[in-house]
Amino acid sequence: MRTGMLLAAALLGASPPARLPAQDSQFGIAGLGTPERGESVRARATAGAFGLFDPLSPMADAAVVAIQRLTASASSATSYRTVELGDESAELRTTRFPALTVGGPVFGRVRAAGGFSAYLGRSYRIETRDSVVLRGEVEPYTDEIASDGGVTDLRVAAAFHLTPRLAIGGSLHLLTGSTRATATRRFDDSLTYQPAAYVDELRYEGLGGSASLLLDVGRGLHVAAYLRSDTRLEFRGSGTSGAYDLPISVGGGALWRPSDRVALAAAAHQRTWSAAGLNAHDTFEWSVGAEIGRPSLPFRLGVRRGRVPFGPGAEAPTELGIAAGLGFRFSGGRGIVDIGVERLEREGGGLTERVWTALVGITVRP
Amino acid sequence: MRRALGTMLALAAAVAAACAEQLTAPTECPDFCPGGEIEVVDAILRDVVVDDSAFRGYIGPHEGGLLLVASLPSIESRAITRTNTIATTYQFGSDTTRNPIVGVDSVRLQLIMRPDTQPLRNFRLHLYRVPKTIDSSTTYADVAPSFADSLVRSVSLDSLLALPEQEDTVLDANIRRDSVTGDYVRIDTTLRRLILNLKLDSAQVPYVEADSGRLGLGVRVTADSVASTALGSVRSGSGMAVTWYLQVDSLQLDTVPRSQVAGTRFDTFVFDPPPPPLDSTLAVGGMPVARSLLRFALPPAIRDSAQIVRATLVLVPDQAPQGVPADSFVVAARRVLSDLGAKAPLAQPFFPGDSSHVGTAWVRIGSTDTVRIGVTQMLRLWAADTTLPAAIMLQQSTAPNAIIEGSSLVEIRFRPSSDTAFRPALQLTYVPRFQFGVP
Repeated sequence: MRTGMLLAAALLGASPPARLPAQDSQFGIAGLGTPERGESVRARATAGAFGLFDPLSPMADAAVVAIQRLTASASSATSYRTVELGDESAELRTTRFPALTVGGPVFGRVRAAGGFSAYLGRSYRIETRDSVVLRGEVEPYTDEIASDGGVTDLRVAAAFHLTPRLAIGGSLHLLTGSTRATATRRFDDSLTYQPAAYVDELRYEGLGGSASLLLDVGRGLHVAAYLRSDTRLEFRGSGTSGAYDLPISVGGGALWRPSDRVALAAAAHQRTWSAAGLNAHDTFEWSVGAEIGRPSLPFRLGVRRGRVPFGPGAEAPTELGIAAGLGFRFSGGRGIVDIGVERLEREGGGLTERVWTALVGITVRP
Repeated sequence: MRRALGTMLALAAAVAAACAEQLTAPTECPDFCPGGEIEVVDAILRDVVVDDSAFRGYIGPHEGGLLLVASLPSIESRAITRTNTIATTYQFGSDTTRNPIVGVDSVRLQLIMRPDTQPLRNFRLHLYRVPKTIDSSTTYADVAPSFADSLVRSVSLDSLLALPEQEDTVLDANIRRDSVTGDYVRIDTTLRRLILNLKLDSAQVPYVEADSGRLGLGVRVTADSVASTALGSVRSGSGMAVTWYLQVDSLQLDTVPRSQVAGTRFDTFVFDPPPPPLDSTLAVGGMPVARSLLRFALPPAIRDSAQIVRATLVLVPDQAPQGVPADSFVVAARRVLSDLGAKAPLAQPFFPGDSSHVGTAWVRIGSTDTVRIGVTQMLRLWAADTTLPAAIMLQQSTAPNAIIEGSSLVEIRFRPSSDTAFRPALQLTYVPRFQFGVP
C-alpha cells in the first residue's frame, strides 16, 4: 500500500523537466475557453465511451452507486500538441489535472461523491506582430496577450438504487476559477516608446445541476442517461465584468458486458454551447469503446468523433479522438493505476491541431 | 479512517505541487485571438498646463562657475576680477631680516577659457585695469570708464592659435607660443578648456606696495561680428591667476628674482543692457538665471486608466535666442519634488541612467523651432504615484548630461499657458486600458 502511494505521488507530481511552451486548444482562445474532459483515465482510455458508467467520472451521477467503499481518484494529463495554421506551426505542451474525485457510502443505499474537474481551460499566450503610424513614423510592435488559469467544476453528487435495477443520481456543480490575464505591447523602438502592460485577475463563477439514471436492463446490458444544465458563467475583473450563458447537456449510453473479460460501451452527447456567445457552436459527440482482459489488468480502447464548441466561421471545428490504455490493480484491489494515451485531431478555420495526450490516474480504496 | 485521510491529503499535495507550465503559440487574428485589441492613441493635449510662472535670480553673475564675456548686438558683457595680495617682503634662509620688494621683472596672467572660440573671426581679448574695489554690487556703468581708458593689452587669439604647436618641457605640454610677446596658449583636450597665458611688464601691471600687489583687471572680447566666450571663475577653481616675477632687495647689496602667485579674490561679470523684466512669457536661462514652473492637470482617464508609452512637452519660443553658435544650450524639464513655487526642490535621479527626473532638448541660437522635450518616464511616474506633484521646472543648462545653470547669457522665452494659440502642450502616446474577458 505504501509503495502504491509513493508511486501515485511520484506519477502525479512529475513536472516537466524544463519549461516548455504549452497552451490549451487554439480553438478556445476566441471563445470561452477549451472545454476540458473531466473523465477518469479509465473512461478517457475508452475515448469517453465508459464515462457514463464510471463512478469516478463526473458525467452521470447515478454511476456513483457503484462506489462501495471510500475511494479517491486523481488523474493527470500531459498533452503534446502540434498546431498548424497556414504556413506556421508550433509544438506546445500542457499538463492538466482534469479530475479529483472522492466518494463512498454515506448512509443506507445512498452513495455520495465530490471533487473537482477541469471545466474550461483558459491558458494561452499568443504573440502578434504589426505596426502603427505614430507621429508620422511607422513603428513596428509585438503584442502579447496571455491568460493562465481556467474554470473548475466543484461537484457534490449523490446516488442511490431506486430499485435493484434502477439507480438515480443528481449533483450540484459550483463553477469557479480565475485566470491571470496579461496584455503587453512592446515597440521595436524601445528607447522612444515604452512598453505598455496590463494585468488583471479575472474571477469566474457559475452554477449547474444535473440528474441521471442508470438502468440494468439485464444480460449484462446497462443503459444510462443524463441531463445537465449550467447557468451563466459570470466573470469579474478590475474594471470589467460580464456573463456568458452555459450549455445544457444531454446524453446517453449503453454498456454491454457479455463476459467478465469483455465490456463494450457507446455514448453520445449533445451540448448547446452556441448560447455562449461569439464563435460558439452546438456540439454533438459520440464514442465507442471496449475494455478487454482480466479485471486486474484490463486493456481499453475507444474512438470518438465530435465537434469543438468554439471556432471561427459558421461551422464548428471537428474533432476525432482515438484512445487506449491499461489498468493495474495492486494491494488486493486497494490501489489502481490507470494509464492511457489519446490521439486527437481537430480541424477548422484553417487550423489543425494534433494532440498526443499521456494519461495517468491513481485510485485508492483504503 | 485516519490512514485514508492521509492518503487523500498526499494525493492533493501531489496534484498541487505539479501544476506549473508556460504558454505560447503563433496565431492568426481575429479567428484565433481573444477579443479586444491593444489600442494606441496619440494626442496633443493643449490644455493640460493649467498654471505657469517665471522666476529670476537663482544664480547671479558672481555665483556661477563661469564669467560670461560677450559682445553681441543684444548685450555687452565684461568680466572683472580682483586678485589676492602678495607678500611685500622676503626672508632669506634663517635671516630674520625682512627684505622689501623693489621691483617687478614681469607678470604672467593665466586665464582659462571655453575652447570654442575658433569659429569667430579676428577674435581678440582685451585686458583692462579696473578699480580694486569691485564687488557683487558693481554695475556695468561703474566700470565703463575703466574699459574706456585703461587698456592694458589686447591679444589676438586667432593669431595665437594659428601658431605651430611646440612641446614645452617645463610645462610638459604642447603649446603655441608667440616668441615676440611671450604669450602662449594651450588646449587642454581632457578638460575641454583653453589656457591663455599672457606676459605683461611692470608698466602694464605696476606693483603697488600700498595695495600689497592686489590687482583689479577687466576682460572684454571682440570679433569681426559677434564675440562670446566664458572664462573660468573662482567658484569653479579656475579663476584668473597672476604670477609675479619680483625683484627683492638682498641686504642692500643686490637684487634677487623671486616669484609669487596670486589667485583670484573675487570675480564677476557685468553686462548691459540688464535683462528685460519678466512678463507673462516663460523665461529660461539668462543672467541672473531664470526658471519657469509649469503645473499640469492630466485628464483622469489618462492618468488613472491608461499607460503612457511616450510623452513630449511641446514649447513654442516667443522669439529666437540671440548669441553665437557656441552658445547653443539645453532646456531641461525637471520634475518638481514639492510644489513650493519658485523655491520648489527638484528631483534627482533614483539610479544612474534614470530619466524620470528630467527631460532635455537642445536649443539652437537664432532658431524659433518648437522645442520638444521627452518626458515619458516623468509622466509614467506621475501616473504610477498620483501623490507626486504634477509640475515641471524649466531650466537652462550648457551641458547635455548635467544641469549647469548660469553658464550662458542667452535667455529663451516660451509662450505661456495664457496664449491660447501657442500655449505649452503635451503630446501623449498612450495605451487605454485593455478590456479583458471579452471573447
